[in-house]
Amino acid sequence: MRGAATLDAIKGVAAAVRYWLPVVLLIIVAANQLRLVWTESLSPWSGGGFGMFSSTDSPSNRHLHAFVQNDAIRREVAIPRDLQEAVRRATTLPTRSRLGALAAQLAGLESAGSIRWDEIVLQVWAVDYATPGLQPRGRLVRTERFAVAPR
Amino acid sequence: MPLRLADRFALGRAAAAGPLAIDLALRLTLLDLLLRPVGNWALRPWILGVAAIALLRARWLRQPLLWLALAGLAGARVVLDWPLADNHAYLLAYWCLAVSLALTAADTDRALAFNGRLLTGLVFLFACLWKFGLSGDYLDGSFFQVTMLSDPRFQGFAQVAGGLDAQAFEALSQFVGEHRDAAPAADSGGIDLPPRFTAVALAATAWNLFINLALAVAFLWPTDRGPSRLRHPLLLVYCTVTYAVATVDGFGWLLLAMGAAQCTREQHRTRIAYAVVFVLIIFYREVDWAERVFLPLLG
Repeated sequence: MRGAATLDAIKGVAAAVRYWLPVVLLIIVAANQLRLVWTESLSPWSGGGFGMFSSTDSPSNRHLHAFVQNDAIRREVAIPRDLQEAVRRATTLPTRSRLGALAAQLAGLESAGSIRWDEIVLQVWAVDYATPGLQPRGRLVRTERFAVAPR
Repeated sequence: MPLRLADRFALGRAAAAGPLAIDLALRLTLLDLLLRPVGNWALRPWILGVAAIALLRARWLRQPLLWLALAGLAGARVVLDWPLADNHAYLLAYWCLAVSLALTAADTDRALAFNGRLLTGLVFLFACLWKFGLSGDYLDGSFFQVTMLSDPRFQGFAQVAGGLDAQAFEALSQFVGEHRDAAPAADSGGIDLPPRFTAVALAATAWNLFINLALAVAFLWPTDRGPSRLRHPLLLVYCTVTYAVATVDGFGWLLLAMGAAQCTREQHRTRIAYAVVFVLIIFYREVDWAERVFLPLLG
């Protein structure tokens, strides 16, 4: 009797999973996207929250500036072409860990010269548009600083 | 309990779907995968191969493991591309998973129709959340103004509907594309946009707000009552209009496949309409109708 009840319960759960799993996944991922937009400045277009075509803050409308600096000098780092994919990921979801990984790669490129750099600064920018007139204005999305390891 | 809830909100009668509709939905999904291949170089051949086999061999069309493989490959694409994958990638993975699970159920048609309804409804519900509330620049029309000038997919529409000649379009496009890292030192007040262009952007905003909300309501409303009865015409109109302008064909095809899964046995014309609109989106993709047809007419 108990075995039959257990079997019925299992069948019920299996049936519910068949019906609800994709829908529940969509809701969880979309809710997580909302969280990441608020907490980590994820672009509303990304992350599976169905915010595409709802905001000008798309991944292609964000860009990155990187600077190496010490007590005396501050210099902008040219981003090599082979890091463009990493830059796009980092500007779309600019978490500290993602920017840190990118900073390490960029700092590695700058460490070949004779100057000793103390710090590398990464800035992620978006563009807002004034209404009316569409005057573009830069908006700093996130800035992170990372120490450059001595050579 | 979960199934009773499903019955109440989205399933309707057992006749709410039929074998023909299911097969059409599956075939349209596979065509979507073949016409708009997804994934990187490592995933793409597998997705294309599995989709082609399922489309060519009728016996494999309803094979749950095949659809589970497609769901896994589509999901892997999302993970590998994180966070860059677009909405279509996520929806494709959910839908392939829904197909796979439905094919293991005794009531495949109902399970698939249920998922098609709810997934479509939720997509538009979240889109409404963004457009109506969370986005800061959608309601005032500036999103469409900027997008029509900066997204190449909208260029033909911006010129034809917005009444911009090539020179005016180029000038406005350059203006919104200026590189800015801070507010301009002296605020110039922006640029004077042609009234017709502004009106078109506002109309596009209003239309999208209306159709997104209508679709969310129609697809999430209990079956066979009130706005639910309009779900097929609304989705067909949405796909016909939207993808003529924004050539995001993969997403349109997927929505059509999910819509087709909800056709009853009696809805012969509706099924044909889904197939016709699917082909229409192929036409939109292959023919730059705005540039080739309308722009020369406008001189």
